[in-house]
Amino acid sequence: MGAGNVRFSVEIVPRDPLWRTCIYAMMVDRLGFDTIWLSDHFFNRNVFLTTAVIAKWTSRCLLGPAVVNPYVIHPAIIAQSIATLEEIAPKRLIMAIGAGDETSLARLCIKRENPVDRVRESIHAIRRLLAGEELTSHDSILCFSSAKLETKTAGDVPIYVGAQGKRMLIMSASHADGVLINWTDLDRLSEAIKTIKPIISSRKGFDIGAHLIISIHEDIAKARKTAIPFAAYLMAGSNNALLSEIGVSDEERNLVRRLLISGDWDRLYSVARDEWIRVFSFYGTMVELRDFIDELLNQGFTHIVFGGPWGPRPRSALLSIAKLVSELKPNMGRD
Amino acid sequence: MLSRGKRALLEELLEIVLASVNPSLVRDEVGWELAHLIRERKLHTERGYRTVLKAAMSCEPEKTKKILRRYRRVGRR
Repeated sequence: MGAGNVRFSVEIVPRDPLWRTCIYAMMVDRLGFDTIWLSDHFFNRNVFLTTAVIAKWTSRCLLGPAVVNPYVIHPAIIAQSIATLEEIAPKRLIMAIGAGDETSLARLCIKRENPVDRVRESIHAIRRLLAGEELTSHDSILCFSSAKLETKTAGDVPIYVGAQGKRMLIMSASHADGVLINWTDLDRLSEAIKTIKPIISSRKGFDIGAHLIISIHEDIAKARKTAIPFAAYLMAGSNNALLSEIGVSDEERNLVRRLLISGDWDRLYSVARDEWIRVFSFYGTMVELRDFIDELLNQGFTHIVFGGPWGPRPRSALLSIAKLVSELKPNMGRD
Repeated sequence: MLSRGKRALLEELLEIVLASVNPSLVRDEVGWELAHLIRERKLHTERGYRTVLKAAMSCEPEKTKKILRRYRRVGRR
């Protein structure tokens, strides 16, 4: 498949001081990427406030808070935030919602119950609220009583789902406008796309995104080291079935979790194993990244999201990724 | 306009500022000034150089001094 209609986007984690996030956002905007996805974790900068600031520092890219979590933020507040952002940056909003990882939710004493139902009901509630509808619902998943936004409507903001598991993928394909599949290894991405393709065959325009964790450098050891904390974070938040499948014991996961929370990076680097680093991240050279992206395009992905850390030299890595994308998609709009 | 050497030095210092794990050591006024200069496409000026240098010295003083020493050596040749 050619890359002409494929979207190439960048995920920015609002962990840095805002001035640095704005610099990266300007870079991404000027380099011609399609979307800036901004990740949402309670311990980083607030995703909606950051999106509002970024909107004023960029002019072209779509802006997507992602993946916002309906356990942490009530869907009505998500809809309110999106409607307000749409007013700040008209026609530039997109969003993704997902059930999040157990590690982060546990730190807020939130149980991740009925994740697929919760995300599905949230999609519908957000969509209806953005369209200006009044909601009343007293089911066990979400509760509304004459809830209605008094903001401008923003019913055409696309809603994606951040998904990994089979049930979440199937639900996304049926109810969302697109999916961001949170895997970075080819086998799992391939399985995921096989799961959703039969469902989306009748849904024109459904966007299939691979949300990748990327670390590139010509020195592979440096690329690997940079990828480890990101892969570790994802590994530590994964469910037991997956961990068992990739040969990670409870003991190993708990150790990694402790090292992440305490910020003991040297110890983390020494215990990290390729068996799980490779499942949750891509690290390597630009040539290897090119082969990897080609394979994803062949599989039918229509949206590639380059998530951080990008590499030990993130600015250079971003410039190299933009060059790669411009080779794949020569008409990519640049500033 | 900056000389070619100083422009290359600025690029290297900017890389340091954007890769540093200590960005919070950069004072917000300096960080925002840097962002404004980039937005206004005025980074490659004397003011831009001074701002990037200030930011780099704040977050990665040792790396910055090392780079400055290297450029001074090259400049003397």
